[in-house]
Amino acid sequence: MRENLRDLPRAVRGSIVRHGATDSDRTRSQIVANNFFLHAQSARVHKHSLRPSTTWGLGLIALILFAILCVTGTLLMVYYKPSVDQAYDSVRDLGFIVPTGRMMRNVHRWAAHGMVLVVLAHMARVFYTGSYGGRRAFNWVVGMVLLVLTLGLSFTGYLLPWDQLAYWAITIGANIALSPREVTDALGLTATFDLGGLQKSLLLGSSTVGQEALIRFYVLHIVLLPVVLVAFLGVHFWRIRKDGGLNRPADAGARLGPDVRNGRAIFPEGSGKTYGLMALVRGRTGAVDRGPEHTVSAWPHLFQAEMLVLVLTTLAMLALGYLFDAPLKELANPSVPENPAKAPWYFLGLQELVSYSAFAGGIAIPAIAVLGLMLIPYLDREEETSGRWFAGPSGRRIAALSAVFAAAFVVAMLWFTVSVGWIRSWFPASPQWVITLCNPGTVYVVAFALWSAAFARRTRSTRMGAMALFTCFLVAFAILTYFATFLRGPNWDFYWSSSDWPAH
Amino acid sequence: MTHPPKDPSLEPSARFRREVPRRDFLGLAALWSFLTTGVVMTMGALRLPMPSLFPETGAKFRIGPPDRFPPGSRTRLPERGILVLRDEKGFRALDLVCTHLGCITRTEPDGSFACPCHGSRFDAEGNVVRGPAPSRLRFLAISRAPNGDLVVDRGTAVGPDRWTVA
Amino acid sequence: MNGRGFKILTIVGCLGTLVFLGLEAWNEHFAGEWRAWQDRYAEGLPADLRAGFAPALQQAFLPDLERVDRCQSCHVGIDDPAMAGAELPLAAHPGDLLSSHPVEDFGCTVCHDGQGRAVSLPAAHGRVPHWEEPMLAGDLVYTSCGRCHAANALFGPERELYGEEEGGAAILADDLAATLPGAALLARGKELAATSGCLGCHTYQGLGGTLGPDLTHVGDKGVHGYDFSHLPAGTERTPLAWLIAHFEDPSAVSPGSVMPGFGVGEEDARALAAYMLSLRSIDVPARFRVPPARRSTAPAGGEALYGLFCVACHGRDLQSGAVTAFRTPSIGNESLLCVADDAYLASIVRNGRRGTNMPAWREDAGGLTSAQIDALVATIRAHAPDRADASAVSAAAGDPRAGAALYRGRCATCHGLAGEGGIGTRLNSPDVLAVLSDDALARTIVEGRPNTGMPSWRNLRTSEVSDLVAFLRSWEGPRVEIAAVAGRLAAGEGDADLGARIYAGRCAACHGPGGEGAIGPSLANDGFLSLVSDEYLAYAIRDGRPGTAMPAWRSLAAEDVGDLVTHLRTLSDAPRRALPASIAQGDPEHGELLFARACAACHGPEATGGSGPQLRNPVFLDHATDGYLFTTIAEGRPGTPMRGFARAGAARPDRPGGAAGIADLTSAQIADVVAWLRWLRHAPPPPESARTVLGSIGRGQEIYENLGACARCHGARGEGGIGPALGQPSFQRQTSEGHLIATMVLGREGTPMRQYASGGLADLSAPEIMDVSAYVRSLAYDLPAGPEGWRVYAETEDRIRLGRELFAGYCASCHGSDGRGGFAPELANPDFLAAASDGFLAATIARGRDGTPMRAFGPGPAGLAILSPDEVRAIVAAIRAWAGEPPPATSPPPTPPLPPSQ
Repeated sequence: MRENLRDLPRAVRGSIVRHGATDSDRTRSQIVANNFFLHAQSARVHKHSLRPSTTWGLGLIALILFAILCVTGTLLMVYYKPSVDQAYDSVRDLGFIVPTGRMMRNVHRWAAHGMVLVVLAHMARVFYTGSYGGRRAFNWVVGMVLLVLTLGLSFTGYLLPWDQLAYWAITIGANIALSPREVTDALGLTATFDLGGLQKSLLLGSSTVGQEALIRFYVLHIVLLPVVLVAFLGVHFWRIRKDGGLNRPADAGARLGPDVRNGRAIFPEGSGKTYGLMALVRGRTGAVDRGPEHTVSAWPHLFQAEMLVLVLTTLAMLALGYLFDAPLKELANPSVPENPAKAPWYFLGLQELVSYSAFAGGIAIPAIAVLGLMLIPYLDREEETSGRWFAGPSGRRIAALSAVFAAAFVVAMLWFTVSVGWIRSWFPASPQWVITLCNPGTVYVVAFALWSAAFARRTRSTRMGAMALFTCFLVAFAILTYFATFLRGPNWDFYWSSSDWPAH
Repeated sequence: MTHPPKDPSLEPSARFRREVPRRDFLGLAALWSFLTTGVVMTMGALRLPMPSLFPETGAKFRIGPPDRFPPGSRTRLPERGILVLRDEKGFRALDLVCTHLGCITRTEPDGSFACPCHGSRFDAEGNVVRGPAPSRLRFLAISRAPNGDLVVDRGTAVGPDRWTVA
Repeated sequence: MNGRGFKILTIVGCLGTLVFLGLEAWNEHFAGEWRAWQDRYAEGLPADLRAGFAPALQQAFLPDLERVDRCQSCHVGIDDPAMAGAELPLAAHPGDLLSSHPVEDFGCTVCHDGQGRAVSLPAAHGRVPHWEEPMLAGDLVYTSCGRCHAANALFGPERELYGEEEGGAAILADDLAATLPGAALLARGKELAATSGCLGCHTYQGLGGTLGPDLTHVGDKGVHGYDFSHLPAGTERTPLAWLIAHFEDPSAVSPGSVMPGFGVGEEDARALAAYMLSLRSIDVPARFRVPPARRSTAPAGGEALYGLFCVACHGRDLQSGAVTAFRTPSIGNESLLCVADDAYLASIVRNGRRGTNMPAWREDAGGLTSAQIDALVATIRAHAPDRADASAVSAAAGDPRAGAALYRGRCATCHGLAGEGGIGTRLNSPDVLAVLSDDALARTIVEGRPNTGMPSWRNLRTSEVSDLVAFLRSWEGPRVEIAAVAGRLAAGEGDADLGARIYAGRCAACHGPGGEGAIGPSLANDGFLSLVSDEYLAYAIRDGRPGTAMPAWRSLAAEDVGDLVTHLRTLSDAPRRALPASIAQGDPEHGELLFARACAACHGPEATGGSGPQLRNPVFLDHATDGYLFTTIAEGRPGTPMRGFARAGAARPDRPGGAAGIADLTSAQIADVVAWLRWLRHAPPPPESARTVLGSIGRGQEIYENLGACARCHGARGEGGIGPALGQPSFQRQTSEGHLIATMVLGREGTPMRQYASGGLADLSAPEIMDVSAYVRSLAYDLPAGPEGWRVYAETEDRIRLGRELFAGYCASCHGSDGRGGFAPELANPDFLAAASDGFLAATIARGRDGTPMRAFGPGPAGLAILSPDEVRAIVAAIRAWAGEPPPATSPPPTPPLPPSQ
């Protein structure tokens, strides 16, 4: 008894950490394997994966930001009142009487924007390193879903402060959801099948943005979307493991040189050795010929890297939150539209297109883009270049070319539409379906499609075609976003800078 | 009583045993600074649920001019949950909130007080007669507003022998 | 990168993170200016209090005002008397407003605006982007009172509109300035608003015009309600700044606005702006509200109403208003006011004028009661004061030459340069003038004939009217010299036969072929002829009996008068009797009583005549000597209903005793009666009611409508037609009994009016004529109301066609084809046509309108185009034909114009 008491600390520790000092690869692996939080990752990690240039830690940053958002969001819920009468005041009070409230809100805001940015970057990284091929195809699709969910989260959160910015951004968004009517009207279907109307009323719970919409957005923002996102997140990570960890070029090992530990190779190349499961499954399991050569144990190598990313991300967020206040404009006023009323920045590219056709810009093109992205792994099955940035120098060149082309083309189009105008400015009477079919957005799509198709044919490589297309879209997205953010003023007119805006 | 048998797997195999490298105090420093930061951050975050001000009227509230309460009167102010007593010595304000679990006591015909929740009884002066109430009903401090109105401070309790002179 | 780098970076990152956490913690616990202020406040506290004082955020939590004010965190001494006059923000609140508005019950922002939740400058004072209610300081604070105090309990215009006895809870402008010195600015603004005619275009609490925005809750308009894009650069973007700039130059700040600048200065503009901001809706719970003052319906003075509603457009001088964007007619124009009667003005005010900027002000539109509208009209009238007093006019005092000038300017266009008539009736005929007494002329000139072309020249001076009458009289030729007549008679040069012929032509109709008397008294009467002198007769013939059927035969030459007198003398052979030269001085008051008892039955209670002749007649009284009167009363007039009234023996002052009278009046009493009659000579004119009506109205109507066929010209109800509207009160006032009768008997030369007496074309007996006059008198009581009474000129197709052609030729260039208006007002305007009578139109066309581009189109010197009277009438008919719909149902009938005396 007395000994038991004496041993109590050890016993307790042993019951939690069931291994001795981390003085061996084995115990290190056990740390990972036996730790709930760590075992999502493999016990050993390939040196190539540890290089920052492989992933730049983007996926991890996205995860960290999501975690930060969950924490800060939960804390903010303590004060936030989802009612049109109190929402705005409660948000204001955060900065006035809530300790760390201002900081908390700022961090939440910047982290939200950051997450969108990072997720996009993560997607680009995965694409340009060709890490969507083969087994990873489905995980790429899951990633797409996560991207959409991220945007959804950010968008729903946008309304909650109930200020002018929020109110009118959401009003625009809701009416974009309504825009399928353009088509159904053109086809005369609206009476029977009113998709747009359905979407909008589901979103707002009334015909205009009001208390109903606020509650719905609140629920979406704090319950529905996060839960769904977490679920897909689990799938995402789980698939990473099951699809063989981080992708890397076939010759990654070779490029790292022979892995020699204690003077001799652990697993000679090409040995027929496999890990367990032989009795359970026929054929070879995923790990075969992926011996621990060129790998190091995740503890501490991987985790200290991850810790660093965590720390730096947190620091960045804290700095942003401390230095820059999240915007909060006047109390929402349904009778006075903001001018210009701008959607969140990541939708501004679309808003530029929406300014011609709500349906094409707000529904069709995004849908095409997302669908196209989802289909990429199934259309492009080239595996050999997988894992290499831009699939090598030729790809790099094509990406660069496409970027230049897209930039030139988009800028030209913008110049044209701003200075010359578009169909409506020449034939004011032209029916809506004409606009819906032929507007800058559709022009972009067609142009980029042709461009990339040409490359695909010339290089006889779907990968190259995909790269061209992806690059075009990415550049177009960036330019349009910049243009709409900084060069569009009141009444969606063009201004070189907001200092030229007419006073109001 | 013997030790539970040790899990052999916990025994480091001689083949892989190595010294903890000396320079790894850096790693420990990193780890500890990381943990410290985490703790500080958590503490900071946990300050949030405690606002500087509660959304409620302050502890001090006006109950009107003195002549609202004629001498010898016991005026119950339900909206404030207090009873204003005025006698020749002056004003006193009795907090009607039961000192047991915070129900509002009701005034009996004989001037005593009864708590509906758990049956505590107080006499006309607020002293506990029976029931679970741990202490007498509180008398609240009364002060004067610049314009002479009486101001009751729910925040500060005073003894039963503290009158505010009219 | 190796593990070492990872670790170092991690440590650095952690330290950085800790730095920011530390900063945040510092802000949380030590920063915040409110701490510094509360420490400063604590230092000033007495020791005992200082011990208990713990710096903390303060707040007034006001859920039912939807406010949380934390201003006291810095303004910690706001309700601490000890801090009076201390430095801001520690100072106590100035004034004693806090005693009625304690901070813990009302907070601060309900009056001061700003951002009550904020705990730091400048956020708390709302001087930050995205906060719409910057703090109100100084006298602007009072613009918030409207949040709880009903607007009309504060600065509403009700005081001007409604009686002051209804003050109620109202804090009115002037005593407001007294009770709240700070609110002087608002008081000034309110005063300006109440006297600048704001409500002419703007509505306040359902009252006023609709051309401009409603001002009832203009103070609620947030910063978004204003378009700042036209503010001069550098002006701050606040409603106050906008309003100030707006009042200084409205069209500059809101282009296209027709609102005039009113030439207010910086300070007044600020006052008006503040007043506008104070007009708020009450959005606080009931227990905070101060009820509005109970509204009284007592009409305000027309002046105040004019200041509230009209002055902006029509100007203080009724000539030109500040609103230059509208072409508002100058209603102060005398040439308008003389042709437009009150009914016209009231109708326009009541119903406005569709298609123009003149709104309707009746109760269901602009919100003015009829009483208030009448008050307004009175105010407008007062601008052109009535100077003439018709009863004071005397032709004798007039200067015909001056009259001629006046006539040429004012009358010639209608009555013709030589008075030959045109649009107006002929004036230069002796017969016409013979039946028109000076009084009738004067009254007609002064009052005009409403709804006819005859304007009211009430703005002429009495002397000028006298001049006019004198001039008109001049057409009768020189008055016969009675002396000359007497001379001829004395010389016996009178020719009875000639006289008989004259008598047959001029007198027989009334006095009977043999002078036996009918409408006029009998002349072939010994008692009469034996008493009167030739002079008396000559005077009677020359001057007639004004106001009775006896015309003044000025057109007769001295010879004619002589011959007439000679002829009259032949009617009786009774010897001339001498009359007592003088009688005892009687007592008029006593005489009045006696008269009422003995004489009123026949001569009328006011001696204005009845079955007996009119005694209250200047000419009669001037020439009937006391002796004549005395003798006639005493002895009566044999052969007439006039009996002798003298007591036996007292009949003759010179001879006591003698013939007996039936009523026994002593000579003294008779003298009293005479004295009273003498007194009547200069007594004020008798009231209308004094008119005794002879004859039967019923029979009169029968004759009027059938036998005499008067209705054909004068309208079935006397509403007029080819002939004048006999039913008109003004006509009734201006024409005496005798005038009517005389006109019927003699007809009206130069007009379709014929002679109706026996011997005339239509053979009406004397009683029948009496009956008709009685009926015509009765017409006054059912004067047809509204436009249907104005059909002075019959609209026949060809006349309208002619009118249209003339209109196209002369008027369309300004008034637009079809009278749709253009440079000149729209004539085919239902509201206008509902208000304007044919006469109004005719007079305006003929006379033009001074001070406007509208010139005189009638004949005469002033005439631009010489339109014949018939052409003018044709144009009127054409315009009238445009009156498509009847006037708005809501418009009550125009009230008949009242004479100045009433």
